[in-house]
Amino acid sequence: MKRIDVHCVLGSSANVKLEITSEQELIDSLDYYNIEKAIVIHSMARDLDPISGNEKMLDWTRREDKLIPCFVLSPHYKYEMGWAETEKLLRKERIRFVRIYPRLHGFTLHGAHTREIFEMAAKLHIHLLIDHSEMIDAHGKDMEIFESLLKEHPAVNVILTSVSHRNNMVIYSYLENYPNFYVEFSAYANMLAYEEAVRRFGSERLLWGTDMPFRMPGSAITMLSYADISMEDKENIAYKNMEKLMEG
Amino acid sequence: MLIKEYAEQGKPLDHVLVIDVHSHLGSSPSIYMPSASKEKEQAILFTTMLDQVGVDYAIVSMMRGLFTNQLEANLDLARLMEVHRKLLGYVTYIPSWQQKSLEIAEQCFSSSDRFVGIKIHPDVNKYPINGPDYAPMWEYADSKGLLVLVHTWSQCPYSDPVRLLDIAEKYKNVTVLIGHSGGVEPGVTTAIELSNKYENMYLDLTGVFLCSGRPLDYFVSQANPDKLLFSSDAAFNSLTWDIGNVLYARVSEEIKEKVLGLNAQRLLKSFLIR
Repeated sequence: MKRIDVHCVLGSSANVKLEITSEQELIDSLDYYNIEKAIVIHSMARDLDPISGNEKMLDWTRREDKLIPCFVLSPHYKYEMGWAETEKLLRKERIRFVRIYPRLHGFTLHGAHTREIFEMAAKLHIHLLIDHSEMIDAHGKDMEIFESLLKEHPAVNVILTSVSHRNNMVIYSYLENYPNFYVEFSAYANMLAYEEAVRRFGSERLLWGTDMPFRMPGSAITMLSYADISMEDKENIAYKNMEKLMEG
Repeated sequence: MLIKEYAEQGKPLDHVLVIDVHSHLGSSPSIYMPSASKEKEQAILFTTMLDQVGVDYAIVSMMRGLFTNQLEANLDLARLMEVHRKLLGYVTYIPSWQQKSLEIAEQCFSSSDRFVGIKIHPDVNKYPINGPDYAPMWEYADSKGLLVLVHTWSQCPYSDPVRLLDIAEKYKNVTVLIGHSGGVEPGVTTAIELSNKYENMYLDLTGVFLCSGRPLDYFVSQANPDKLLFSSDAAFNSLTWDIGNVLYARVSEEIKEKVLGLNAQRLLKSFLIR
């Protein structure tokens, strides 16, 4: 089955020893796992500097058709070039996906920076990705501000990634209440994860992702391939929903 | 057809033996689990999934017998295993209920040939693996040559796998499955070292792919492939998630077959499996 991976990272990490250690190895792995395209950030944009990391990501996405650029956006841009220039850059590069790391990048979900990024995303019809670990408090509970952002910015589709399976009831609540909420299940290892989610909310806001190279994609593949849901739902999750987001 | 190709198409793994050595029936307070309050219904859901993936056997323990002191749940499991022949069982042991745990265990082992060992969860029961209240269980398991599946997690006060050092030396007739292979580092390294050092220690793989990010390829490179056991932690986790890491690993078909079922079959040689 055709697959588009919404959650992929180019580059290596200083924090953990990975099986995939270079950009090219990751691209080669897409073939091994039959992944047609992947939405990618560069690890440097997350772990070191968003601006130079995004440039590095663009170097790769320009020369490799399988890779779809995802910008890591942060207030670093505001203070380096201003939001207006950042907007121009995003338009010029035809960016459809932006990822934020408020905790890692020194801003907060509650603050003005996040509101400004959401406003820019709404204006440019950009979809916004965020890891679950970036929106939980010190006790591991989801911060209320996340729901407020979903409510206050209905024009911005928010894609939650790396959700732990222990949070399934919270995810159900987001899917139930916010039509602009999307989620991928690379770490959502619940029994009957897809079956339960599709039965309750349909398949249209479920996306397929791997978190490669931090997780190997085999688990994401089999959780979908063995799911007891219709082929239409499987295709929606594997690539059709993502294609709509890429076009829309 | 390669094992990976079955997975790609979502076809049951009918041509290989698959044994899930770590699964459960019942509920857990922090997550929603389908039919969690109706164990009979959940057993049907679970065994349907086993058929769908082509899993031959799953060794289950009852959540009620770990999270509460309803140790009678083990007797309910005995009845469920009569209906669902793919299910084998672990009896649960709670250290603060030693006498009752052993009485129920004895009833289970004498009345059913479907039980293969004991499951303990030192974190849930807040008692260290090598503490004296677990000693009667270790002695019982040692006398019967049972499997003991021990939940372990790195640096947790009760379940750190380093606590198994004492056990391996003392109870040589027990086959210890190191639950979750320690979960995350440095526990994973400790678990691998234990399995490499002691003949009777095996690595139970559920949760460790998810939480440590280490794929099967890593365990194959660091540990004896004969000591690696596929497991799912269902119904708490997803069997279809965990198995993918094995099916798509960049290791030989022979190793995949060992991990999926042949290693467990060797441990269960006295039980009636194909």
